[in-house]
Amino acid sequence: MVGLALQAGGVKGFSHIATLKVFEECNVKPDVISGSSAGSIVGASYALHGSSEIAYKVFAETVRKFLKKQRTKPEPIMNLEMVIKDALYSLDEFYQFFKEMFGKKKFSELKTKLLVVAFDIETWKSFVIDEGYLVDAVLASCTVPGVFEPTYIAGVRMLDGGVLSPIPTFELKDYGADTIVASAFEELIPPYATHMELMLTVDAVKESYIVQNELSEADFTFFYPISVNWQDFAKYEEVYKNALIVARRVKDEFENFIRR
Amino acid sequence: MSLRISLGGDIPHYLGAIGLLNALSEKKVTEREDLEIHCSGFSCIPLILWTYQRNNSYSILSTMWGEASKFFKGISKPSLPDIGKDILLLYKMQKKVDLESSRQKLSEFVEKWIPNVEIEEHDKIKIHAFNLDKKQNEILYGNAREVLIHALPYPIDFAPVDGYISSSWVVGIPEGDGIIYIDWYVPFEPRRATDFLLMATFARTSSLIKRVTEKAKATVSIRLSGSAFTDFRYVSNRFYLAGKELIEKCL
Repeated sequence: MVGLALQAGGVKGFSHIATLKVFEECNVKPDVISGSSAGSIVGASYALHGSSEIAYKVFAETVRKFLKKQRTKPEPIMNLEMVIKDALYSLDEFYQFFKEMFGKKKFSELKTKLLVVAFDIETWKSFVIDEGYLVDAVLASCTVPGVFEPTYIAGVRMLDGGVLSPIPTFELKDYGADTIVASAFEELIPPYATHMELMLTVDAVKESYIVQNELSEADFTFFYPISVNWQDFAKYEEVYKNALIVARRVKDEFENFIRR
Repeated sequence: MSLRISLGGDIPHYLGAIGLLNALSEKKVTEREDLEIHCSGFSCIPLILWTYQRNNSYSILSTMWGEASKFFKGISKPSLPDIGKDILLLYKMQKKVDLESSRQKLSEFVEKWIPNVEIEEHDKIKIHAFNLDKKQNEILYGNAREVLIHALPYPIDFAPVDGYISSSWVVGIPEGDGIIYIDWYVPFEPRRATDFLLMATFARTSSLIKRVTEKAKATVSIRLSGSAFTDFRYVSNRFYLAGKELIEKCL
C-alpha cells in the first residue's frame, strides 16, 4: 500500500500538486494520502477530483478570489488585533474559502482514501479525521495557531495539524501503508529582533526536529527548496511551476523506486 | 556498557536535582567510570556545584533558591496561563532582544554562585546548550561560568548569548538511558491568539520529550503543583526519591 504524506506550509502546499503530477506521469496512484493544513487542502482536492490538474485549478481559483477579498486586510501575525481577539481571522471568513473548494462533499465520495490531520487542544495530540464533511475536516486542519480561530470536530476544539504532524507519515504507517512517499519543503527558520520573534524562531526549530523525525519514516521524499513565506499566497503559481521542475528532475528516480 | 542519565532543565526548580545526585551517590552509581550525566538549562547548576564544590553544594543551592525565583521571574512559578500573560505582554511591547544585557545579567548571577572552574571533556557531567545560529544542540566545555551563561538563557526573559539558548527550551531533554524531568504542563483554556501560539509550542516540546523518553530504558517524571513549587527541601527530596526509583528501574 503506497501512502503519500503532504506537508503543512500555506502556499508552499502548491508544490504537492507537482508531486501528484509526477505520480500521474509515472502511472502511479497513491492508495492513501495524509495531509496537514495546506497538505490536507491539496490532498482533499486531489482525492475528490482524481486529477492533479483539476486540483490545481480549483485551489488556484479559490486563492485568487480570496486574495481579491483580502487585498485591504493588513498582514497577519504581527498585527495588534491579535492581542484583543481570539485569533486574527474569524471562522466565518475562513470557512468561505473551504466551502468554495469542497461544498458539501464527504469523505465517502472521495476517489482516494484521505487522512486529514488536526491538533486536539484537549489531549495535545494529533487527531486523524477520515469521515464526515471535507469542509469541516480541512478547515480544522488549517487553523494556524494565533492566526485563525480554532474550530470544533467531535465536540473538541482543533488547531492546525501541522502543530504535531507537519508531514503525517506516522499516521500513514498506522493506517497500514508499507511504502511511504513524502512531499516536503525547506523549513525557513525566521530571524528574530524581538522576544516574541525569538519565541517563534525557537518554535520553528522545534518543528524542524519533528519534521526530521517524520521524514525518517518516509521511503522516498520529494523535497522542494522554496524560500517563500507560508502566507504569501500571491506566489502560488511561481511555487507550483518551480516545484514541477524539481519534481520532474527526480521523476526517473521515483519511478525506479516505486517499480522496484 | 555505559550509563547515561539525562535531566530536563526548563525551570529553576531543577536546582533540586541535587537530590538526584545524592541518591546516585548513596548507591555508588556516581563512582562508575562509565557514568555520564547530561543536563540542560537549570539542571546544569546543581551538577556543576556537586562536581566541583560537593561538600557545600546543598547549602549553596538552598540559599540560591530564593534569589533564583526573583532572578528568573518569568518562569519561577511555572504555569502556562502565567507564561501566556507574559507572552502577551512581550507581544504588546514588541520588546527587542538585548544581547549585551542578557550576557551581563547572567554573568552577575553565575559569578556570584558558580565556582571558577574548568569543565573538561572527560568529566562525567555534560552540559547541553542549543546553538540557534547553527540550529543544533551542542555539549559545551571550558570555564563553568561561561558554559552556564550559554546554557541558561530562555526566550521569555533573556536573549540568546552568542547565539546559544537553553537546550531544554528547544529540544526538551537530552537523550539518555535514564531520564528525570519535571512535568509541570497542566492543561489550560486558551483564550487569546498568543495562548494558542503558546499551547502549540509547548505541545511540540512535549512531543519531543515523549520521543526521548520512549527511547530511554527508564523515565521518572516529577509532578509539582501549588506550594510544592516554593519549597527547596521538598523539591530536592522529590528528586532524591525520583533518583532512587530511576536506579531501581535502570540498573
